[in-house]
Amino acid sequence: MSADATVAKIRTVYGGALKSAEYHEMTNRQSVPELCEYLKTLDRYSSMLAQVEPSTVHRGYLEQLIRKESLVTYRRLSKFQQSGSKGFYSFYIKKRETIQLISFMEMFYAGLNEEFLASVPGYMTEYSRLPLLELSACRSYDEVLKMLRKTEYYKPLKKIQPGGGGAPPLEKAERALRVYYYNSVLSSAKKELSDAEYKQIQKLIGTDVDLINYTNAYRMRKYFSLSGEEIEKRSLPFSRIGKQKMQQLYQTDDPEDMERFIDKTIYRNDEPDQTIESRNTKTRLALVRHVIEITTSAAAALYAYMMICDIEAANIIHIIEGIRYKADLSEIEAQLAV
Amino acid sequence: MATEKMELVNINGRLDDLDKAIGAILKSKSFHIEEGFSHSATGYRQLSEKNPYTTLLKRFTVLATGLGTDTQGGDEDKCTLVTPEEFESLYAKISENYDRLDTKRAELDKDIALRSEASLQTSHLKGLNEDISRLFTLEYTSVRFGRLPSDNAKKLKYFERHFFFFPFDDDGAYTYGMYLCPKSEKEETDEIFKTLFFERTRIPDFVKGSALKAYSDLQSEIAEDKKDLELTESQIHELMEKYRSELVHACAKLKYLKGAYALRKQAGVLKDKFLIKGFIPAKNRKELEQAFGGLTEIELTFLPADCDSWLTPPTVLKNSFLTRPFRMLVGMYGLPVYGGFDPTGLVAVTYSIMFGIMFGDLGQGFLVWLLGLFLGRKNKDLGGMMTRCGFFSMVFGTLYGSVFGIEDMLDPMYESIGISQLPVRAFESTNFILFTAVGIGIFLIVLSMMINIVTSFKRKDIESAVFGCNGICGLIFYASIIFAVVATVMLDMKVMSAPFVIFLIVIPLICIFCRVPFTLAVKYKKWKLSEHDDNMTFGGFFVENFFEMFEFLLSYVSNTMSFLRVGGFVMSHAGMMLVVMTLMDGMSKVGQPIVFVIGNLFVMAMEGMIVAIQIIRLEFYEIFSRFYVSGGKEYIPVTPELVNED
Repeated sequence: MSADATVAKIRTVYGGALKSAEYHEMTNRQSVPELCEYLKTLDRYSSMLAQVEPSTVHRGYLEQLIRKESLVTYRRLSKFQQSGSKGFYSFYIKKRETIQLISFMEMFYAGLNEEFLASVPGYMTEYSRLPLLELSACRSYDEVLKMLRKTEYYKPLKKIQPGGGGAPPLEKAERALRVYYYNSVLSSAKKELSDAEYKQIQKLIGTDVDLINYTNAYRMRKYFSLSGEEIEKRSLPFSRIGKQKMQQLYQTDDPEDMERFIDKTIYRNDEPDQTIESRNTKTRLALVRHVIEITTSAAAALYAYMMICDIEAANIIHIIEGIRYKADLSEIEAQLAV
Repeated sequence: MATEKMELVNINGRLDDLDKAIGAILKSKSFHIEEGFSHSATGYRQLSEKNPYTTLLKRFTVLATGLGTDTQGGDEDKCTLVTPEEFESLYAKISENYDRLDTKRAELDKDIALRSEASLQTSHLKGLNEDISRLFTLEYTSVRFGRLPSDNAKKLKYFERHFFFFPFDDDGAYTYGMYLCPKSEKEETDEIFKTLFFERTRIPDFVKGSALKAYSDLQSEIAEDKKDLELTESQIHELMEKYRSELVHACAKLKYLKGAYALRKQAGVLKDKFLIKGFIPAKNRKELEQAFGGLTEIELTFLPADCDSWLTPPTVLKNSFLTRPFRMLVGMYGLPVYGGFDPTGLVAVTYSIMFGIMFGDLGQGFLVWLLGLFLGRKNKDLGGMMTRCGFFSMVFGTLYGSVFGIEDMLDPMYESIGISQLPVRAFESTNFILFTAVGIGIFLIVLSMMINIVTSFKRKDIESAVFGCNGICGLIFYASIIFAVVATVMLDMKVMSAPFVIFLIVIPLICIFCRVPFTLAVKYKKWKLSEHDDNMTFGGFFVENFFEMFEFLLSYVSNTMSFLRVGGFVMSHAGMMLVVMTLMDGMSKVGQPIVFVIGNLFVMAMEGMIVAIQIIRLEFYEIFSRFYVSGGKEYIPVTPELVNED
C-alpha cells in the first residue's frame, strides 16, 4: 500500500482519538461501572467492550481490554500497509513483548511465577510468538534462557549472564531488554526505510527515551539522592537532544535545577502545578502529535500514532484508578495528557 | 484606516479587594488583561493558590450526571451562593438523598446483573437433573459458578493446583463454567480465579431443585428487582426535577467563579497589595470607571498604550458597517500592529469590486446576495461579505447584460433607454477586458506602493519608504516603465530619452540595489554594506543584491500580469454558461429547465468559490505584500462569557 494512503488512514484514525470533552465526561463518572457504560458508547471502544457487563466487570480486565484495543488498532493499520508482522512494522508487538518479559523478570526474581501467569494478558498469546505462559514454569535463569532459545530475546539476556552461570541482577536484565527493543527497532528501520524515515523514527525514539530518562533521573535524584554517575548508569543510551545534554541534566544539583535545565530544551513545559510524569506525558504527546500532523512517512506516522494510543490508554487507566480510590476527579482531569 | 486607540490601565488595591476588582473588570466587558507580575512590575509575583471552585464544580457536575441532567443552560445570576462553604452545604443537601438512592440503584443493578448471570448459568445446566443445592452442600469440595475471559481460560492448564474447571459455554469473549476445588484450598483457588478476572455468579441459597426450576425462580426474582429499580429510578428523577434548576444555576455560578478566580493568577502581588495590568479601547474608559464606581479603595491609572515597553498593546480594528465583514480576511493574514495601517477598508472595496467584475451576473449575484443574508444570521462576517460581493456581482452583471448566463436578456431594457450596444460583451471585447484587468492591477500596485511609502514614513523606516522596491524609488521605476510601455506601444509616443532613462529608470534601480548602504548613510551618516554583518565584502553584497534585484524586477512583471486573471474569469464565466446553454439546447423541453437550474447552481458554486479564492490570492500576494506589517496582538477582553467557556 502506498505510504500516502497509510498516512492518510492513520490521520483519519487519529482524528477519532479521544478529545478533552470525552475525558471530561469520563471524569464526571463516580464509579467504574458508570465509566465502563460510558466507554461502551464511544466508537473507539464500543466493539471491544460489546460483551462486557459494566456492573460486574473486573477493573483489571477493563484495563486489559483498553490496552488490547491499541493492539487491535495497530494490527489493523499495519495490515492496511500490507507490511506483515516482520521487520520494522513489528515494533509494537516487540514493545508489548518487552513489557511482558520485564514483568516476567520482576515476578520471576521475586518468586512469583504464578502471579505472572495470572497477570499476563491472555490476548498476548495470540499476537506474540513468545512462550509467555510456559515461562511461568521456569525455576532458574538457565531455564528461562532455554525457553527463549529460539527467540530474538535470547541473545541480549544471554549476554548479561554472569560468567559462572546464574542470574544477572534484575535491573541489568530490565535494561538489556529495553535497550534491545530500541536497538532492534532502529536497526530494522535503518535496513528497511529511507534515510529520512529512519531519522524520523530515531527522533521519535530519542524523544521517548529522553523523557523516560528525565522522569527516572528526577525520581532518582528527588527520592533516592543518587549521584549523576549512578543515574547515567541506569539511563537508556538513546537521545534526541544529545547524550552530552542528558549528561549535563544528570549532573545538576537538585530536581529544581533539572526542571530549569529541561525548560531550556524542546521538552519545556509551562504547567508547573503538574506531576513530573504528567508534564512529561503532555510534552511527549505534543511532540508526537506534531509528527503525525507533518510526516509523509507511513512508518513514522504509525510509530507516532501507537505512542498516542499508549498515552490514551494510560489516561483512561488513570481515571479508573482515580475513581476507584475516590480521588479528586478535577485533579485527575488536570493531570491527563490531552 | 487606523486601528482603535487603546489605553494602558493599571489597577492597584489591597489583596482583600482583588475579587472585587476582578468582578468589576468582568462587568466592564472591555478589559484585555495582561500579566501584572511581568518584568515591568518589579517585585510583584504571581499568586500561587489552589482554585477552590475547581473541585466543587467537578463534584456538582458528577452529581448532575448521576441525577441524569446536564449542566448547560444555567444562569449564574439566579444563584445567590458565593462562598465555597455555601456551595458545600447545597451539595450536602442534594447528595444526602441522592447517595442513598444511588447506592440502592447500584445494588439493584448489580443484583440484576448477578441474577441474570446466574440465570444464564443455570440455563447452561438445564440438562443437570440433580438438585443444584446439593452441589453447595458437598463436604470436601467447593463449587463456584461464573465466567472468565476466554483469553484467560487458556492459562488454567498451567496452574499446578488442585482444581478442575468445567466449561459449559463460550461466546468468544467469555467462557462460562464452574470450578471445583478441595475446601481446604478454597481461598487460594478463589484468589487465583480472581486474578484471572473470574466473575462469580452467586447461585442464591433458595435455589433448590433442578436447574430448570432454579432458572424460573431466578427469572421471577429478576422481574421483582427490575420493578424496584424502576421505582428507584423514578425517585431519582423526582429528586432531579426538584433540584434541577438550583443545581444547574449553581453549576453556572461555579463555572463563573472558577473562571473569575483563575484570573487572580494574572495579578501581580506584593505583600498585601495587588496590581492588575491591561488595555482598554480609549472610548471604553467611562464604562470601566463606572464598573469600578463604588470601589473607592481600588485605584485606576490610565496611561498611554505604548508607555510600558514590556507590554504590546492589542489591536482593535476600527471599521464601519460597510467594511466590517472583511476584517475576517485581514485576520486570516495576521492583525496589523497597534497603531499600524488597517487595510480592511481597502480590502472591502477592492474585494467587492473584483468579485463583481469576475462574477458579473445579475441573477447569480442576486442569489449570492440572498445566500449572504441567510448565512449572515449564523456567521455575520461571511454573510456580510457575501451580500456585498453579491451586490457588486449584480451591478457588473447589469453592465455585461448577463442574467443567469443569458447574455441578451437585458437587451430590450437597454434598447428602451436608447443604448443599442452594451460596452462590455465577454467574447466581443476580449482585448478591452484583458487590458482593463491589467490596468486595474497597475492601479492597485501603485496604490499599494503609495500606502507603503506613507506607512513606512510613519514607522520611520527609511529603507522601505524611500529606497525599497515598494518605496519612492520603486514607485518611480514602476510608474516610469508602465508609462514608457503604454506611451511607446499604445500611443506611439517616443519617451525613452536619455534623461528619462537615467533619472526615472537607472537611478531608482541603483537606489534599490544599494538600499541598505544608502539607508545606513542617511540614518547613521556612515558608509556600511550591511547593518548587522561588519565583514560583508563588496562581492558578497553584489551577489546578494543582484539576485534580489532580479526577483524584484520579476515580481513587478509577474504581479502586474497576475491581474490578468480578473479578465480571464469574466470570459470563463461567460464560457461556462455558454456550455450550460449548449447542453440545454440539446435537451427536451422537460429537461431544459433542469439543466438550466443545475448548470447555474454548478457554475455558481464552482466559479464563486474559485473567484473568491483567487481574489484572496491577489489581495494577499499582490497587494498586502507591498505594505502590510502584521504581527499585531488580538484584543481579547475578559467577559463573563469568556470566563464561562473554560
